[in-house]
Amino acid sequence: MMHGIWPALFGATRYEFRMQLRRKSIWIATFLTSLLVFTGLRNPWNFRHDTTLSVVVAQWAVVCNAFLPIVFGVLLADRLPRDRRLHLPELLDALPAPSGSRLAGKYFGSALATAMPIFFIYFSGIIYSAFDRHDPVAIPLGLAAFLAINVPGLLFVAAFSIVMPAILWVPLYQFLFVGYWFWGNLLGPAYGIPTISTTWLTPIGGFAAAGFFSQAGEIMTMGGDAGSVWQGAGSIALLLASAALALFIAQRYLTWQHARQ
Amino acid sequence: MKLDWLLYELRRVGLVGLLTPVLIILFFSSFGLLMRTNGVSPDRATRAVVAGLEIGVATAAGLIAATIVTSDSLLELHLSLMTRYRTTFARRLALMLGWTALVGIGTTLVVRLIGHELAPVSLLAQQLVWLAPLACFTGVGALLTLLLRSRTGAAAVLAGIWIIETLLHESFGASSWLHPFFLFATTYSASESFWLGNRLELIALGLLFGALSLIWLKRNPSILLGGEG
Repeated sequence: MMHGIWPALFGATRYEFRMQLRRKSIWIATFLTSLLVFTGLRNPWNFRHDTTLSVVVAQWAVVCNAFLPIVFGVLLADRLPRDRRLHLPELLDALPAPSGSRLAGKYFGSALATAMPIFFIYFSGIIYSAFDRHDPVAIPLGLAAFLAINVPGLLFVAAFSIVMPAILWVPLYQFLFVGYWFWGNLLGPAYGIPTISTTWLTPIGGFAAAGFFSQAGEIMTMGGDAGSVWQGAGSIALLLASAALALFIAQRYLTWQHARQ
Repeated sequence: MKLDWLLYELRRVGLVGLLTPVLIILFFSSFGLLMRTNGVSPDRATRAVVAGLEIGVATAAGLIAATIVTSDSLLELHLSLMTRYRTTFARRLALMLGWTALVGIGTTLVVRLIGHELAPVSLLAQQLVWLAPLACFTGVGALLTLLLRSRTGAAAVLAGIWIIETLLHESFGASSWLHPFFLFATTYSASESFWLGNRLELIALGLLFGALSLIWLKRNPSILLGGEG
């Protein structure tokens, strides 16, 4: 039923967004973890006034993206298991809304809601920069940096955090996810352990930050001569494509699982 | 049979639940072996196993504790039965802790047998390497789930604690007021004088949080109904 795809998608997105936004634990857990972000040395208030605004904004976006997605990913891991526990699929399968739209709605709605506290924390730093430098350009620049640096990484994390618990026990996924975050984002190649850190597939957004707003040497975890505009665009495209692929495979798996029952 | 519950709970935990701490320690140990083959000193390579016990297994236990507090899909029915929910919860917690303890003891013995030490203390005191963070993470996980009425929220806060303690380990080692809360003291500051005190304080914190959870469940057994899940 092609005509039911978009209403089901918007309906599911709206419902999931409102449901997730009302969870107190999302706000409490994200704000508690943000204490770590605020203790860093690359926050807007740690830079001298002669540092370019775009560098300050890009650094702040990367700092927020280095730590807060951990809580974001853990918080999203219970969305599919919750539905299963409450036997919602049996109920929703009786409705004409396509299951793909429901999964996409769950993805967009819950990811958007869980990203809200992260956005507020990030934007508090941007507002500080705007007042501190008496430069209102910080606001549009900050929004652009959030879209280019944070959003692709968050969408990447959200896709895997929503679909992986379909096959993994939730605490096990949460543990593996936090371990992956250290290994694949924060652990540099200099440690001698093979890692995907500092590659295009790093959701921290170092390539986008270096390519669009700054230079590789000025961005946390980045180094060398990497960080052109094309590399930034390539990293964003790869992250978004990986997220879409994960959702597509999950949809096929859930459909196959449903057909077996 | 009085031990029927044990078989039932073991089946409920399943192979994945039982294998989780074993796989974690095997994973970290393989990193240690990799480091040894790359010429890293035995002391540094052994620290990978320490991290497996202290950072890996203990944190996983906290996440599991946060989950099992509310993981009963028939909670409402359970609350009407003779066996109180806090008894069932305590049994599940004890089962998880007992199994994780076996993995911890086994690891310390294997490391000793191959001629290394997890910490510069006696074999008995070495058990504090895993026992202290395990007790603390488990107690915090259970209490957070009751406070937030959300196992996922509790898991997210635990993940936050994990990151903060790992990345700010130098501050935790340098500030005396942070020593009682330093969960990964063996990994980062095993030879410091505060190590033993830190271990005992963490165990005390874990027992306190665990006891508070059980008391809370006793006073208000229906607290978990209608939570965030």
